[in-house]
Amino acid sequence: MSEQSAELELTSPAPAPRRKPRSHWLLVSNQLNLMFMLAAGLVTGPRGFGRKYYADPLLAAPGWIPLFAERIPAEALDQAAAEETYLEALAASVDLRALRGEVQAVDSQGRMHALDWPDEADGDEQILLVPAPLPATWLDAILFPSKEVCARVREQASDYANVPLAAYRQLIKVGLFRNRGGPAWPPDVSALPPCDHALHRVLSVGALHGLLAGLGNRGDALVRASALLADSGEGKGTEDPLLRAVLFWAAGAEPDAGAEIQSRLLTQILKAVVAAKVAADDMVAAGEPWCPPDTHQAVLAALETERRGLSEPKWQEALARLIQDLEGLLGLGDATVSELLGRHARPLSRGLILFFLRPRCGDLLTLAQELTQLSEQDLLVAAALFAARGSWMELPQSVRDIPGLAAATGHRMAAMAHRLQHSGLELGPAPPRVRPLRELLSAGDADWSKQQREAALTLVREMGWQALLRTRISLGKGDYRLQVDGRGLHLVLDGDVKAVRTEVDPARLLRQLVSVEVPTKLEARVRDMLQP
Amino acid sequence: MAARVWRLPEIQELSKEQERARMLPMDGCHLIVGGPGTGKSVVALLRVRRHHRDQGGQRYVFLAYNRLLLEASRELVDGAVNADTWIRRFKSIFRYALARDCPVKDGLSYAIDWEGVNSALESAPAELRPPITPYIVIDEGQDMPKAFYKALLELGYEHFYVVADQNQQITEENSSLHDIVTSLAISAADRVVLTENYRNCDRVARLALAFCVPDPATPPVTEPRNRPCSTPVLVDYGQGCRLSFETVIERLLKLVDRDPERLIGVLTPTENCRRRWLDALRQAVGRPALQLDHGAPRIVTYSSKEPDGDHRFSLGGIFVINAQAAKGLEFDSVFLADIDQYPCHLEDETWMDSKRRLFYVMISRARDQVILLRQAGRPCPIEAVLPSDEGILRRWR
Repeated sequence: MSEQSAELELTSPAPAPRRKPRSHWLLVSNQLNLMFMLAAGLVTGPRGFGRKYYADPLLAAPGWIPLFAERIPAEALDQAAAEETYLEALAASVDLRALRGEVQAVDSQGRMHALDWPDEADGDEQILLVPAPLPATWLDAILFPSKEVCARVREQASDYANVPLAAYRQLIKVGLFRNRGGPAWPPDVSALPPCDHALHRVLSVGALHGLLAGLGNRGDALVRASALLADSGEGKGTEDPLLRAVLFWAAGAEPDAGAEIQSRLLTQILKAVVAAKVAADDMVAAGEPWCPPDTHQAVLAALETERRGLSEPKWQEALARLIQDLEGLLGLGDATVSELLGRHARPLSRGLILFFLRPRCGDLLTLAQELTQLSEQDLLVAAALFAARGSWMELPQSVRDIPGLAAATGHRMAAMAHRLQHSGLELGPAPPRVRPLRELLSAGDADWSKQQREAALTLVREMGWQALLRTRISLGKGDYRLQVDGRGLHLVLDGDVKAVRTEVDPARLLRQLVSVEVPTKLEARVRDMLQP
Repeated sequence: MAARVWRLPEIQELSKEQERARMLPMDGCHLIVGGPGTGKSVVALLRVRRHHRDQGGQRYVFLAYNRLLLEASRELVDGAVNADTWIRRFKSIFRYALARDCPVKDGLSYAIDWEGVNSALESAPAELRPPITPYIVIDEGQDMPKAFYKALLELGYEHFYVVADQNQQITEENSSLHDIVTSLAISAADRVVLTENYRNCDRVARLALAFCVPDPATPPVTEPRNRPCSTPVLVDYGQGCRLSFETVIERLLKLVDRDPERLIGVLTPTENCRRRWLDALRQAVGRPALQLDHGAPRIVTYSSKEPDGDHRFSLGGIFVINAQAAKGLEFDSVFLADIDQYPCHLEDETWMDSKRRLFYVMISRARDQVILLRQAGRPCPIEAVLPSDEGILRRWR
């Protein structure tokens, strides 16, 4: 060995300058998967699609989201569009600036290794594998190979009620799809632990966020429930046992050991409903045909189990009567809704009656306006039940369009999924929760601010609620002339008078908001006026 | 016929096979085949919507089998559809292209003389006026005759989107799926079979299947795995039973009162029976003892002898209708009233198959709930074809 070569071996090479980690990465899929993810509010693994997943690069390591640095391998594009002739390979730019935690990376040599993102990233990463899910609002833009494909996908998206494609930037990036190359695909992922999870629970909690936002104008208790759900997690800060049960369930925590029967039962029912959905998905994953969950039967079975375990005959009888009435709602029952609500006064029973009366989350918002005899607690229980059965994806457009709700909920759903999976991934601060108009227009004991006064005036005028307006004419001391002519009576004042002020009655406005749905565009305008 | 209330589907609601049908190109000939409730009409209406969005009703026409189905389809899309009944539109197409009236049999306006049409086309000039609406979307395509498709091709039509189900043929002059495929030269790539039933909940679908008469030309009907619901019930009412006729009427009214948007179909075996149920329902809502939250519900009817009136399917209420008129319609709940009045010829297998088909069609009209009703103490010949398995049809006295 020469002196020179020995020296080379003994001297450690100078470390390559560490490059700043890339903030934006490329997700590759097809238009139908991508639209599904936009509707779900989450970038998810194959199991998150239920039974409507089309093979794409997500299949390489199920539960890990593959993201490409800048060049997309031809094999990945082909994989995205292979399952059906009408599939188009698309990409989306994903903003990872808020992400913190352990991910897998494939470097330019094709080696895979775990790294703590972003601290241990050196800029040589060609592919990242990030545990799913991520908030869909992290998609910065949808990238199309041509104008024609973009137009086709837009047209296809307009056939759906819940795909917010227009909310995302759409860019044509011909070169991205043409200049193929990039890292080898698929990478060897045999060492990666499987982490693909169904998302029923998080999508249900997403629906609860949406329903409470939609019901928030109904009263202060629902406003508080919405705030606690969004900000405090496991029911800290409330003594209300039913609300605690809902919050515990939403956080994936076990309920209080000594919880009273109503809240204990509510927790069991919520769990049973979600478990029925997960079981249906598990069957599909095991290769069985799809068989939707029978959530009514799941609820009736949970009630019957509880009834048998009750020691007091009077409680047993009460539960038997409730079960009988709920079964009647599935058949030729003998009662009207008023008669049923008259027979059952407790929030859990009433929530269950609503749950058996109507199938979809949007129906609850309608019932809440029609049935004024329902209390806020009845609606809270019903919202949790409808949400457990439903999903963020089935919320009506009027709710999904509440400004800021999709971003706030998508982030919280993804963060909840990572908490439940113990992935250790941090998604950064959640966007602020959406405050119902009732909360935004509340002033406590103080007077309304100028912003609130103007927003309330806009709302009341646009809704045509003349009865809520009053006009105050403040005049100082002085002599005033009254003139009567063919057009009516006129009060004539000298000079430039600024004494006429139109005001909204705050208490009556809040009462009005209980029973009327504000059109989405108007609500957005009013919210805009109330921005700090 | 599509769902009685149309709403744009959510992405998770359309299956992969429905997506396949939705994504077929706009040009060319396509056939979508599927049993009741498989969403054939949903994909047909999505196609109509796409045509309509681009150019309004200028370039396409949606053809329905009869006036009732036409009204129902128009209602589904709020009238935003260029739609017609197939006979009326064919006659108008013929008149436009050949500048003469379409030949009919025996002067009957609804009986097109297909031989006469064929002769007229053979002697027509080589260059006919091109179609005004070159795209045709056809619902219930199995109920139109083969000659209809052939004639349209001769008249210069090239773009067909046909949805059909051979198991639901109700006309004398109809087309098999094979007829449609060969007439329009539809390639395998342009045919989509829908197998999943989305209308009927699982137990309703299972009961319907008990009456299905297998047909080799129709795709196999899959085991029902749909929205869960309660098992259909056969209720005996009257003397010696828990429910009287009056109580059944009252409970029916309370059912619709609990959800006024719900549409309940009461399907009757005879004209007399239709009148009996209609009168009883209308009289009951006037009784002071019956307190309903929403007041009197909408109670409507239809018969071929009285075709006018309120037939809006998008509104809730109770629709009393004869069994034969139920084809193609959809209800949330279906009550098969007085099934004891259906005649039966046990020795005649063809006759029995026709009765099974009728029950198959009636039951498969229901989305969520089926209740069969019969008067106690009367003979019930149709019992011979009713399933005895309590898991499929519960019995309640």
